[in-house]
Amino acid sequence: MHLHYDGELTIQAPQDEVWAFINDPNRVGRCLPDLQELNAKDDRHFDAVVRIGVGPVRGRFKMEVELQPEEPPRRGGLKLRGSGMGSGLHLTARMELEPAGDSATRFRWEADADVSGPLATVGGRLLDNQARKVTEQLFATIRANLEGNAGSASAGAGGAGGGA
Amino acid sequence: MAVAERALGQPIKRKEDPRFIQGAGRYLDDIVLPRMLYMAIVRSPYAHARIKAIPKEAALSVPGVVAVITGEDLEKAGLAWMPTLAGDKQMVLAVGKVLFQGQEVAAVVAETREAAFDGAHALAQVVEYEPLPVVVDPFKALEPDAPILREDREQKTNLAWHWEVGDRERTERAFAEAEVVVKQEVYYPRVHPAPLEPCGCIADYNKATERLTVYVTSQAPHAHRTLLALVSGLPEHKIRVISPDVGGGFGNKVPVYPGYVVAVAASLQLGRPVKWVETRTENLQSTHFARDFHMTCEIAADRDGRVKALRVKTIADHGAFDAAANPSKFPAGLFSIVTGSYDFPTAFVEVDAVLTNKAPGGVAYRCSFRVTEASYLIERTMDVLAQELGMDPVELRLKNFIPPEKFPYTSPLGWTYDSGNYAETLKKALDIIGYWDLRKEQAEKRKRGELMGIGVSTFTEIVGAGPSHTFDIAGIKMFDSCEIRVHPTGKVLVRTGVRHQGQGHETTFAQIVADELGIPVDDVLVEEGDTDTAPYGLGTYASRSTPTAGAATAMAARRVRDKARKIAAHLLEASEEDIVWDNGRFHVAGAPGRSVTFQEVAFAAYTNPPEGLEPGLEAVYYYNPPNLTFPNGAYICVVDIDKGTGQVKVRRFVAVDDCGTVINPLVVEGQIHGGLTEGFGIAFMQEIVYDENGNNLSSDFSSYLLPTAMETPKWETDRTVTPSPHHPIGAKGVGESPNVGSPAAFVNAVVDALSHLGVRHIDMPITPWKVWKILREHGIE
Repeated sequence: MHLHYDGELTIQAPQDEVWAFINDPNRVGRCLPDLQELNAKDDRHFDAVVRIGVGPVRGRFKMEVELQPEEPPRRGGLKLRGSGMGSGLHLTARMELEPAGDSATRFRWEADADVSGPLATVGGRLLDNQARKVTEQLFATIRANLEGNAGSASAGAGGAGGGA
Repeated sequence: MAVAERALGQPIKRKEDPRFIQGAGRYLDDIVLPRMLYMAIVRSPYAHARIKAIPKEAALSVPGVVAVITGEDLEKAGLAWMPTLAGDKQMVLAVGKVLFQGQEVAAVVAETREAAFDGAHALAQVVEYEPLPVVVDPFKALEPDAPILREDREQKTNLAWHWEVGDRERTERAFAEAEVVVKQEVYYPRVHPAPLEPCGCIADYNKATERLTVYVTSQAPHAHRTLLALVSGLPEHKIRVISPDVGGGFGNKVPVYPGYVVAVAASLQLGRPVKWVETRTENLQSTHFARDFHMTCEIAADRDGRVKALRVKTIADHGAFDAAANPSKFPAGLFSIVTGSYDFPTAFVEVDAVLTNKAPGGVAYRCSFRVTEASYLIERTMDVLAQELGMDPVELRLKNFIPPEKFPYTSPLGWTYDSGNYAETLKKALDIIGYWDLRKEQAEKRKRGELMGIGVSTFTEIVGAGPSHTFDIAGIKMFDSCEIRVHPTGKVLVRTGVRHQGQGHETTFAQIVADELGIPVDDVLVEEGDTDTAPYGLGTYASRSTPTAGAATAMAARRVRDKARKIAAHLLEASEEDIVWDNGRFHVAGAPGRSVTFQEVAFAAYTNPPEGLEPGLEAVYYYNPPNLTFPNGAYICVVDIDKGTGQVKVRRFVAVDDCGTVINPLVVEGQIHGGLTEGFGIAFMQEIVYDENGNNLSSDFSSYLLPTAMETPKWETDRTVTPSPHHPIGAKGVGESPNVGSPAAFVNAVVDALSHLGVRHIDMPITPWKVWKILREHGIE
């Protein structure tokens, strides 16, 4: 199952700060929803374990993430390899930052994911909505952290658009 | 003395039903043996990937897990690969890489079922894969830059084989000269037999006796025994295969599956019985699918509707391994029955089989080796021709039927049809449904903007494989057999080489014997499924039981009667030539009072046999049919379509079948109801769908739909009887006709309802969404 998402958000923080945050395994990794374990291997790589529940497919999901800064502080990407619940996930994401007025940053991103196994076969019809929700949470948390109100990171932000 | 009523043709209730409806059937999973272990299989989440590591410890550390078996373990025993019934080979447990989602990667054996599943689950979390490019589209698989999926094959292509039959040159000439040519692309989707009981086995190897007993959900226990002997190297006399009550097969339980072989390997290794029963999802993901034929059909005809030539090109998607269960000389099965009921002067058929990253197959799902695809194609395309010519589809069919006086009829693709009267069968169906009145109603409704359609299908099947000179499976000739033992009290035990899974043999074969010996049906017990007791046979599929084992049963009964006649002559102190058989009694010619019953003869066979004659009363018959049989039928379907929702409602469905002599009309009607219901599911509800990554999106009953009583229309059945001239009792086989003939009737009806909009074809499954979109495209709101 191939999924494609993209979105755009504006974060009330300077571009350099945003860049530094999303390229720091320890900081961006902690924004993953339902995080169980985080292990930063170096400044570009981290492993994480999250809990995932898509319909009847529920369990721990291991992820290996490689951050790919290309053109600081404007352009970068990441590669994610996940496995768990007998399923596999391969995701690549690209992102672009640009200033949006004084001390705000426009953050554009897109991601492509291939999903195999029960997550796709059993969870397939629920997967799209679930993935959007997780993505929204992820960006909301990133924004909340950067804007200094990390305590209320649940409000809808991020705006995942596009679709499968 | 009044002549007793003949057993043949009586609507006797099925003898097997009391145990089934009381929950007293004994299915595979009901069997529990002492010290039995359970096995679960770890399957690939990827459709194409290299296996990097299988860390067994993950499963071995689960309490209760006894052993973990991988492809590498099997490789050491030479069991990592096994032959398929189509001459290809298939991985038992993956070695190196996986080729479809759900492929068997490792097996976990444990003290309990729960521990086996827990162990398999734990191992599934940690098997490491490296994904490879996935090919799910057979057309893309044939492109020059497509990745070659099978590294084990010498041929570096995804083309499994090319097969052709017919007169290409003559057919091309006929097309060049034709007044009218129609061409239609038709896809028969990948579907699944989905028997309610999934597949499973218990392998029980006794290290002391060196005997292996395999209880298995099998439609062909003897063939399975021989294949197990060939694969495992165990001597065949030390293998016993028992197929207990089977909860539906429909072709799905013909092949040998990797799970069986691994269970055998595990039992050999551990010296304990090992049970493996797959889940519903495993059944839909990994055991054999059916169809998946991409067909292009062309008919050349005169302007007045006389057909001149047929040309068919097919891309057959076989998945990762060519595991279709077909007679070895017929890689595309009996697909060359595609000229159907029509008198085509010439025809040419080509099939290319393609390997893709999907589950392997395909079996003949309630079908005699690809007959279903052929019948659907010709019945669909005849309607396309009728539409092109502006003719009524019934008129077109009547004009082109093989006439009764041409039987036995040799088709341009080489089959010799035994018998049939297609026009009579169709006319009966037309009368029952009131065809011409329905056409008037349709015309009026169209004026009012209402959508109503009438679909006709007049199919001919080819079943009962087969003559041994032409048909074999893995080299074993396709005869079948029966053994009859008459006990001293005149009660009879019948054993055959086939294995019913709902076909009613315990009743119908008892009727054949009762009829031949003039005894009550209740005095006959039919037993099937144990290779230690039953005579060798090829099993039940392809509507072959009655044409082959049923024939063997009649012939064995006649052998019993021949011997009984000798004993009767001895008892009546007359010469054998003077003994007359009169349905249950032997009497002396001209003296009906001097008689003995069959039961008296049976007793004498053990208590007072004549001098020089072997005691006892038994017979065995191995029947090699001289030809196949050709059941046929005329089905008519009436549908109404809801313009707002696209929902198709089947208003009426009339099925007139000609299966030759009817042994038991109740059983025949039951078979037809079941087959029509499955055909309805295929036409409107079912498809095994893969996404671009090779995920099977139809791997449970919430996404692969079976028709229930809620969806199933009412069926109206009737019959004509044209006995097969070469079958001992004239029977042809019927179990598959309704599944072969009905999909075209359903689809023809829906297309007919929309034909005035210019719709010429809709691929199955015809879902409301598909119809709704077509209606919107044509401006119907």
